[in-house]
Amino acid sequence: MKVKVRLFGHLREYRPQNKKESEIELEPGGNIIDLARKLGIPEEELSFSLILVNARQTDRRKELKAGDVVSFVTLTEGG
Amino acid sequence: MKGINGKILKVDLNNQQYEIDEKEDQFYRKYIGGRGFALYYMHKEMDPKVDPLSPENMLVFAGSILVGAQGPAIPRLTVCGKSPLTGSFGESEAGGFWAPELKKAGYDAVVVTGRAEKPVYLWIKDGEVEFRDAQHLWGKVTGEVQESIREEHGDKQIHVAQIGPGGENLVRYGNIVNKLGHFNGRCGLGAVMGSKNLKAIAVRGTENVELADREKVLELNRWTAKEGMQTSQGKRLHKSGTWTTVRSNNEAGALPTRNWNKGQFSGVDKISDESWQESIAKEGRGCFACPIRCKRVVEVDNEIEVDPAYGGPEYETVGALGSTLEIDSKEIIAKANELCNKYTLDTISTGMTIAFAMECYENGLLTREDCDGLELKFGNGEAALTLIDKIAHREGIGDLLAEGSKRAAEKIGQGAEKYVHQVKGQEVPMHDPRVKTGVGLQYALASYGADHMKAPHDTDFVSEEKHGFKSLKSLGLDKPVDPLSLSDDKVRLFYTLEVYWTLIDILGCCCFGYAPAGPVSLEQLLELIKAVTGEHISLKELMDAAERSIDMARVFNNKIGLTREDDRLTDKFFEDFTDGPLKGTGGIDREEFERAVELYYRMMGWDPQTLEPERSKLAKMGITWISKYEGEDS
Ligand code: SF4
Repeated sequence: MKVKVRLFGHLREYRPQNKKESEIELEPGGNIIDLARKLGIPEEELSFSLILVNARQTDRRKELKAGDVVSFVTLTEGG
Repeated sequence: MKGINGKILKVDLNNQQYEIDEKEDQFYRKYIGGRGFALYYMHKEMDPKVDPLSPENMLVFAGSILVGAQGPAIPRLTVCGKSPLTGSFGESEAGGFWAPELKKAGYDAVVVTGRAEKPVYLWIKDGEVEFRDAQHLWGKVTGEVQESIREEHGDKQIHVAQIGPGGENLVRYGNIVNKLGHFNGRCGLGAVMGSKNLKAIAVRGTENVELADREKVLELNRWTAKEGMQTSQGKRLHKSGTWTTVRSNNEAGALPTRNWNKGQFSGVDKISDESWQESIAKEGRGCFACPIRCKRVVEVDNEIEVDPAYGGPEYETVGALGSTLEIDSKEIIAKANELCNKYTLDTISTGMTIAFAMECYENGLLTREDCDGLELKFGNGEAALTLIDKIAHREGIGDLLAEGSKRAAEKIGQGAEKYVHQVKGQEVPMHDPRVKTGVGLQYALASYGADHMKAPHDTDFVSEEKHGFKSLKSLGLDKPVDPLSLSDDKVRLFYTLEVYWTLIDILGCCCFGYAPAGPVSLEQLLELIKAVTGEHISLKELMDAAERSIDMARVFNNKIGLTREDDRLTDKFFEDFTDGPLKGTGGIDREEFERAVELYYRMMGWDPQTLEPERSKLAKMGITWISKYEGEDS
């Protein structure tokens, strides 16, 4: 299945082909952890990131669906 | 106790006299600093019902038990007084250098009352205090004033907390700046300075405060500079400051756009972190002794011309003067920020008040004639720049907008209040509670009007793996909470986090230095407090002090006559999003929200109707003296 991935902020360096949005092929049943692994994002980084599936924060173990849009962005508070 | 001077300077501008209030260790342990110090004096020595712009209002400039120590991220100057914007207790914190310098000059805080007949500035040098003529400085912008005061004394190390024309002209959201780029931004306390004819307080000290274990304090700073800066947070705060929030809020469909009518901005690519970095951003700056150096600096050298001496816009400013106004030009946003900084106007309230005026204009409630010929449409950057000038000088429409959006709407009538987004009269900052309900609780419940820095945001506590959750687990966080929930667990999380960030504030620490938002852990913070003071002060004692200060602010507001009505969240957040990925969803359930607010009051030991703390709560906190129970034993 294919999901759309958007990476910004300090996670930008993990963009495939340096594009704002890319399609990634993922095994059916895959979750955010699998996707992050595929993109080469260290699991530790996920603790410092806002991860959105179709604009909502979601459990990183929840199964993704084909066509989901997953955004990985920096989590900063306030200022 | 080490780390303190034991002296509070009390200044009366009416007769240009001062006295020194010497305080025992007990005072410092009980009130810690910041609003703790301020509320002590505000309860003891002022009538809460006074007009905020009258000589009887009090303005307190406070450090803390830690400020002045060369540890990581402890630079904060807290200014408190009764706010002319909200009519409630007012409070605002700034980073920079002023508060550490005050400690070196021999004082832990300055309490100002009265009104000088003519403009003056206060000059504090190594314990000596002078009232100096400031008539030649009145009307000048902040850069000139700092320069002039430094020249007058032949000392470039002098730190100046001051107001520009915005504060002088009593703009209700006029702020106070130190070192040109660090702001006590919110609550209009700059206007209080203006009403007192107090242009500035300049400080210079040459004696470091004695610390119990100086080597340990320096070691913690070295850790932050080395290991701390290798953490994910250290690295990105240094590189991007808060700019990354533009993108994260936009991705979440919750970037305030077009006065909160939209949650995504078509111009986001032009105002995101990457875009600033690739164009007008310069090397960032920092605060006293802090190795993180996260403050933004920008420079524009074309015809717009933006002077890097005034720093650069942080996320809140990019939101308020950018997406909220549908302005996608970084140069214009940078210029708007620079103008606000020169004139000392709070960028959040300025942006939100202009956004309100633009929506009124677009809907025919304000005509071109009302707006002095300006075409006040969303996206018109030139008009926004002109308006900032007019607001600071109270010229034409600027006079109306200098009152803030709530008062302006009352004057305009015709239903204009539906375009105002505020709590207690203070315009809301740039975080949407529809994607993190705890932020809605902050906006509604902050004693000083809508604020986004009262507690860490929900997004960092949604799973056990989140850094926020892990780093503050020892506060008793036992389960993650959904960002949209308003359950009992959410209220409990909010309560705990609020007390914790209040603690960070009263300690004079910057939240970007410490867990969860910064690299220094809670355990290291406790070590730091021990190393500075030489006292073993437990986390329980500290959290109690923070909660005590929240009770004291509530009681102050109760004495003024604020009610539960004043804790109402703006209507916008009970409506669904109308665009972007969250279209047709998001509106907060009003009943659930009210239930959460009520539960919070009960957790605090406040009567949910009258908001009076129970007598037992005040006794538990050791502050019956601030209430009608003063002097009684039960
Ligand atoms: S983290 Fe940034 S804002 Fe905070 S004290 Fe350090 S430089 Fe100043």
